[in-house]
Amino acid sequence: MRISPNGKAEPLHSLFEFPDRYEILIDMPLADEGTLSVTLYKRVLKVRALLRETIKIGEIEVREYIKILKIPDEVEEEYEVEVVEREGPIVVVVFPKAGRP
Amino acid sequence: MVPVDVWEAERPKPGANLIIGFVDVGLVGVIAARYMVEELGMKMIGGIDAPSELPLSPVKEGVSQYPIGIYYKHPWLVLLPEVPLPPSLIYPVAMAITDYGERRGVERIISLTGLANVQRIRKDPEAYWIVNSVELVPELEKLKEVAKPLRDGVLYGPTATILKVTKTKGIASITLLADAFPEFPDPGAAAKVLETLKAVYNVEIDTKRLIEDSEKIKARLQEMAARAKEMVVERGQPTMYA
Repeated sequence: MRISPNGKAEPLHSLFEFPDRYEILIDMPLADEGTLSVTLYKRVLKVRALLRETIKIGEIEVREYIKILKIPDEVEEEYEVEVVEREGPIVVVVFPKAGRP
Repeated sequence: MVPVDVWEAERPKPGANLIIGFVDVGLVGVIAARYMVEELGMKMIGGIDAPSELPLSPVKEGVSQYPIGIYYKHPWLVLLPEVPLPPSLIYPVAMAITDYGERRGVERIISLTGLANVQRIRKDPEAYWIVNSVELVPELEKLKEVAKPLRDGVLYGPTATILKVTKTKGIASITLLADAFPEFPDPGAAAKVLETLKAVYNVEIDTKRLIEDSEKIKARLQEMAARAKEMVVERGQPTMYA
């Protein structure tokens, strides 16, 4: 994971395509769900959250997650967000495909 | 073939079980192997390296390590890689591991790994097994009691190579898998394979601490998971069962 010198880490993500939608999963272990923010602007998704506790990776202390993703061209800009607990929070962002029935 | 060096300061007794946890789907193998080394208090007795292909040295507490450590506490011999294997090394390392196991008279080789499952976010992991030969594995009935056989399909990656190479040499080889996130570290799946290992082979290991610390383990291993994903892309093949 990429970590900036000021303690912001880019968490891992997976993108799954289904016939009617895309699902983006963002793995954010130790994230404080109360600080979670999900925004979309000009087809760029930004997901941020503070960590419940500072962790050290190498010599850098990580305090915050930030994920920035360009969403696929064929999805609509409305989306749903769900947080699933699987050994830590995983943020699920669902984008319906354009032109779906 | 790429030269692979095996170094050991101590020779394990014959009859050990050789456990391998590659850096693969969900990092299940490496999480499980590392936890086993810690819980059993195993001692590092050697290492495996391919210096021409791996110009690197993991460092722990100021001491350089081999890319693949060999840990031992009879009857358990664990190979613990610290880095993902590039495609050029999969076959040479699999051959080196199998030759080493044969020379040291191991009873069997057991690979621990994850089975990529896109539904993992909605389900707890289940355990599965693959053996290289029904004739070579006397504990097959016990395996059937505690886990499901992996049905028809194709296995990719270093674990697949181990199964093939050991089949040729007539060494019993078992792969234990658990449903895992394709691209995220998955300590829950690692705990499942360890519980399966315990149920079949009576290893004294308690996964409680692994489950309690799973979130912290996930956070610390995100970088390794990202590198493993890059290696899968470089191989041009999925590691998932297809």
